[in-house]
Amino acid sequence: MSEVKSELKYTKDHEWIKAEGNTIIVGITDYAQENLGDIVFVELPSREAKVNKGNSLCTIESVKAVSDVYVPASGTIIKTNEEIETDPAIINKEPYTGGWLAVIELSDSSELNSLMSADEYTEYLKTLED
Amino acid sequence: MILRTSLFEYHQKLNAKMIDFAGYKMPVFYKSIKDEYFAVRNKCGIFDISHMAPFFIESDKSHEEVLSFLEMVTCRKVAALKKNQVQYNAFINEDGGIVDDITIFYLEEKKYLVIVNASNKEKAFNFLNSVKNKNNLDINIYLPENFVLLALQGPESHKALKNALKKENINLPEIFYYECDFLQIDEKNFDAIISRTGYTGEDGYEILLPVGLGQKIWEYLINEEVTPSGLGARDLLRLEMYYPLYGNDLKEEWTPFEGGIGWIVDKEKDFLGRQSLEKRKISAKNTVKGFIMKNDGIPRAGYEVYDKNKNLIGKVTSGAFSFLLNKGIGMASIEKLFAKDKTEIFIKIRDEFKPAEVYVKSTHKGSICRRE
Repeated sequence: MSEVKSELKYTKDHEWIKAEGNTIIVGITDYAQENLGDIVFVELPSREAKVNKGNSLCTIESVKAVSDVYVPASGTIIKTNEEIETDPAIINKEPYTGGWLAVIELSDSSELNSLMSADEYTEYLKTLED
Repeated sequence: MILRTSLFEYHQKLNAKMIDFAGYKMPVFYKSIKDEYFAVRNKCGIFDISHMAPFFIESDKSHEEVLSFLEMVTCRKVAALKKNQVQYNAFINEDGGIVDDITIFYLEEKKYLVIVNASNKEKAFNFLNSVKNKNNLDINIYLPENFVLLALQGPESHKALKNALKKENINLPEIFYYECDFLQIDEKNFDAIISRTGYTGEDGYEILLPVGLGQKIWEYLINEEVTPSGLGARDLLRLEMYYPLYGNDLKEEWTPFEGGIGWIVDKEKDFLGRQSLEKRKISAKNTVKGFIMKNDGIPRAGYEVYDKNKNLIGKVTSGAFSFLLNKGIGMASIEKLFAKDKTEIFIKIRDEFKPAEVYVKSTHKGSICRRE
């Protein structure tokens, strides 16, 4: 069973969001990394870039496939995790800590209201199981 | 209906991640594609390949009968095979198209074994039977009802297999790269076959066994710390060698020349597709070749290939990230003009043109064990 952290928010596309004031930290969930398998490449967004909710935030390539991570709430990228560029496997090992992807400064924090709680996400994962 | 191999429960027991592949539920990986990949390159891995089809082809009458049949349906000269040798070859239809790429085993007088891809099982069976019936040939084409087909791959395969077989009092015959033999087992009504072949570029064996014995050997090998490995690792291992995969790099619409396996087409022998093939050899625009990304970027099947002036020259047929090179690698169907070693091409990855170089041959020298 994939790990879900109670203090985080989630999307249906398996991103996690940690809200800190007017900024959010974004990563992919344990479920996402498990399903991607060994991650070999991450194409991070450029800093200062303005991003809109639902657009592609970055691209993650695993041994198996390529997949997009989506912007969970609109804003400006203020920081990206450079460590995962050199060692993308960190995302497999520590999806909720060392494997974070980017920090976004929000332009409209009300967009966070539509995110799932940990309980809701856990329920959601159950519906995805075979 | 989705089929299961006789090792399905063994994969479940190991918590394999299963996918649908050519009509079968097959393990794509057990723990990690990367770990399984390195196990095969450096030590030893075991694959369940029972989804593939072993066709025995034999004649009661004469060796000539079965040999001439095989020459008719393939493009490489089967007569060049000596007893106990294996050959990479392809079934070619009358239009010159590739029905399947196969390995042919010369087992004994009047008896050959052909290993067919899972995805082409029915198509190949029908093709062979239609040629047989049309020519009124007195030959038998049959599959064992139940069987296990294993591929043990990696530099430590020989030792691991010898130990596993010993537990069942079976001798490992002395065979080398692309050679085969019968395994002497207690079950007299089953042809157990072993060959020193594979799809990874490493030393290793492929073994056809009755179900019970196959399951036992699988267990022995797993307990001896041979790494169970899935289709994910298999795909990467074969791609690093530029071994084509039917469905990606080979297709029925293509001739062997277009599929990049023109080297197996015999220059003299006559076969069903010969005339069509000669015509299509000249008119063919594209061929499949391997390539390596110069910098970053991971190619995937379907990505477009361009020349330096941004003219579209082909499409990627297979792609992956190579742990051997720490770079993206792939195979692509490209215009023949560009199919030369070290030619610069560009792969379009998310709207960027990323440079790559054509490689006609893999740079990896594996642990393959040839007869001296």
